[in-house]
Amino acid sequence: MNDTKTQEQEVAVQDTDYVVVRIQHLKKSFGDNEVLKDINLELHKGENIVVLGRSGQGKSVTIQCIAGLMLQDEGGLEVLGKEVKEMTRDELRAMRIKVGFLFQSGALYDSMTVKENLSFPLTRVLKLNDKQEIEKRIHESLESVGLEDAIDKYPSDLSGGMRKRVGLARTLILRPEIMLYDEPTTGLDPITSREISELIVALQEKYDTSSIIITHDMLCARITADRIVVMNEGKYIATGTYDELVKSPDELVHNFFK
Amino acid sequence: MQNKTSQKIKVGIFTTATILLLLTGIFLIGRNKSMFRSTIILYGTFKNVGGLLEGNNIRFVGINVGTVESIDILSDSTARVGLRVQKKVQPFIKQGAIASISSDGLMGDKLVAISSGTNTTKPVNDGDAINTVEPMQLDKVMGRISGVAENAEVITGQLAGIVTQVNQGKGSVGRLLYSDSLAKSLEGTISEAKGTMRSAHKGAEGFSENMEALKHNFLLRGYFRKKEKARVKAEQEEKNDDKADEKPKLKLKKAKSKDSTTVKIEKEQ
Amino acid sequence: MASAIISSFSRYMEIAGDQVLFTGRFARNIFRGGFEWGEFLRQCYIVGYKSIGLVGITGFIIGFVLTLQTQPTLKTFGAQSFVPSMVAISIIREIGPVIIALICAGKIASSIGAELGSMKVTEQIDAMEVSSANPVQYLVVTRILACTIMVPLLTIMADALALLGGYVGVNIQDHVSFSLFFRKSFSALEFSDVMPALIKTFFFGYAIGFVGCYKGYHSKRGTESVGLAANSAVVSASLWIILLDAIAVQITNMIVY
Repeated sequence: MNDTKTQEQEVAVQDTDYVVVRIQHLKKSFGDNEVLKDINLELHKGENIVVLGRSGQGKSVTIQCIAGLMLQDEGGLEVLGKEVKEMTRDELRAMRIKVGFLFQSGALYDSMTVKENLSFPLTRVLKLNDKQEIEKRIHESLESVGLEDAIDKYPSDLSGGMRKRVGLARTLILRPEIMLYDEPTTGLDPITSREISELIVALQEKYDTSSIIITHDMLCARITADRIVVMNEGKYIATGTYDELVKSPDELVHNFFK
Repeated sequence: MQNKTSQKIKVGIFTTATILLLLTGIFLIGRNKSMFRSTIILYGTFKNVGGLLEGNNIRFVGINVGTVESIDILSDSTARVGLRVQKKVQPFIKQGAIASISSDGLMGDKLVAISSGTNTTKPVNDGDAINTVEPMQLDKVMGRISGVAENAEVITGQLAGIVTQVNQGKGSVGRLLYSDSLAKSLEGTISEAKGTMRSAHKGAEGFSENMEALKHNFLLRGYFRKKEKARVKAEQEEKNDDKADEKPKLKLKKAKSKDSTTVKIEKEQ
Repeated sequence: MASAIISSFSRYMEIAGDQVLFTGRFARNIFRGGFEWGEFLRQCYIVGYKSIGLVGITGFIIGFVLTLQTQPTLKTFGAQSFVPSMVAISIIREIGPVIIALICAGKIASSIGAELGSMKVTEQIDAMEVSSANPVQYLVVTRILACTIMVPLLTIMADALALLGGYVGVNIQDHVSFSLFFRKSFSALEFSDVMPALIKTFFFGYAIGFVGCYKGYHSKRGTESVGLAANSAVVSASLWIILLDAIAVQITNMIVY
């Protein structure tokens, strides 16, 4: 637990230039398939980075490495100033509390109600026992995504957009410093997509997080991105704001903005 | 939350019920093995236990009262058998009781039979040694059978002597068979008897005519009708009884046939 | 050819090693503290209570059929009175535990495999992992323990119902009183029949839970892998039960006789 405290202090001391995630020459392959060839990225505090790329190119692999779900083959990957590969079990645990991960499908636990889904990380991870405190946090979290009515429903009763919102609420309930979004708008209609994207921005401001958003949805990218990174064949080929990249002469980049 | 409580209750009921089942089973097995009852131990020494095993039953007046607990070899010609017997039969087993090894039915399970002994009235104590009788050995059985055969020879010899005497017309049986005078006097007696029978028959005919006349007499008609009805009824009941009897008869037949097979097997042995 | 054999051998060894590691994770997480009682009870309910009907009917019919099948044969030997003893010994020593375990492998291992498989596919397991919650403790420990405890209980229940079925079977042709039948059954049984049979059902239950969890937990991404996980869970669990039974017989014979 000491590590967590020192990290918190570090974060507090540093100003907005503080780099929360630093990726250097990251490589990862599955068998013969080299998914990530040479990835370099720096996520600054309070920044929203959108990673654009075509499906099936291993965009998600990057953030899965950040969350410690996979280990990179080569290269450096620092989260909150510590190399993920060298973390002990307890350090990894502490890091994961600081890093929120929203999965493509929302990944709600099917056998539990929304309320139980939200209390799951509170009782297991933060080891909270005070029922009133848990109740308060759940309500606050659901309020921030606008879904207080769904508290006693099961995930199977919810629509795709609602699941994403509950998933978001469950991730935010631990008050993470870094948010990783894996295709937050996939499979949603344009209106819901826009709502979710706007919600991401609103929550970003409310909880003061830094985010990496993996997507191929241009609408989402335009709404959420401070900076966009375009990925192709395991490398980041371009970076810049939305307006900068629209004007890019590179054909590969240009294809996304048509 | 209510849902969860009911789940808990169901799991609780199921678990308790099955554990109770298991405990009942263990208890039942243990009871049969007299494990949870107070017992005493008796010892008997045999020259030959004839294939007795630990765990074989012990019978006293035909009731299972315990099991064989141990069989130890004492010397080159004796084995000591420990008999674990229920305490409640202790007062009935007297000190002169005799243990013997015999087999149980066709399947040949060995058992120890304790038979009540003679003259003493004191019951046995825990750990006592009791008298034994050696299990019947095959050669002994064969010896006895040959004795029986010798007896049979003597008997048949004597029979043959009797038959020759009869043939010679000696004694009352011989005279009956071989003397004419006796036969003739018998014939005379029989013909006289025939005459007597004939006159008796005539008398009976006359009586039946009288009876017929009486039946037609209106005063007595009712009485005879009633009698007739009762007779018919009785006949019908008899028929019904016959039907009902058929099944048990069949069973009896089966049982008989089984007996005959067992007898055969015994003979073969 | 040789390289194919070596690679398949090393693949097999990899799986075996992986299973050993998984067992280690399971064992460590039992005693880690913060045991998931709620989830454990829920699993007991699903594994145990929800299987009562299936297992009960199976048990009853096994006893019933076994009696009807053995009765004519024993009758020809004039050993009809051995029917209860034979039924009791064969059910309690062998048929009850193995058949009930196989039935449970079909019902429970497949459902655990499918459930965890779909949780894997929909990233629920990853979600637990990244939120620092412990998926092994919550999902695996509870399920394996629930199976390990519930399968023996189900077997006890099935054994009892099988004896009842045997009693009904005997009474179709002959009349034997209830108490005589059970007296005869239990007089044939020894503790050395009951205890090894009971102990091996714990291993059967563990095998069912373990294989179901392992297959589900390690299923690949993609919808068809859920079906694959469920299917291979049933196949491997059944195989494990038969193997464990063979091992149990050897050990029992070594210890008891």
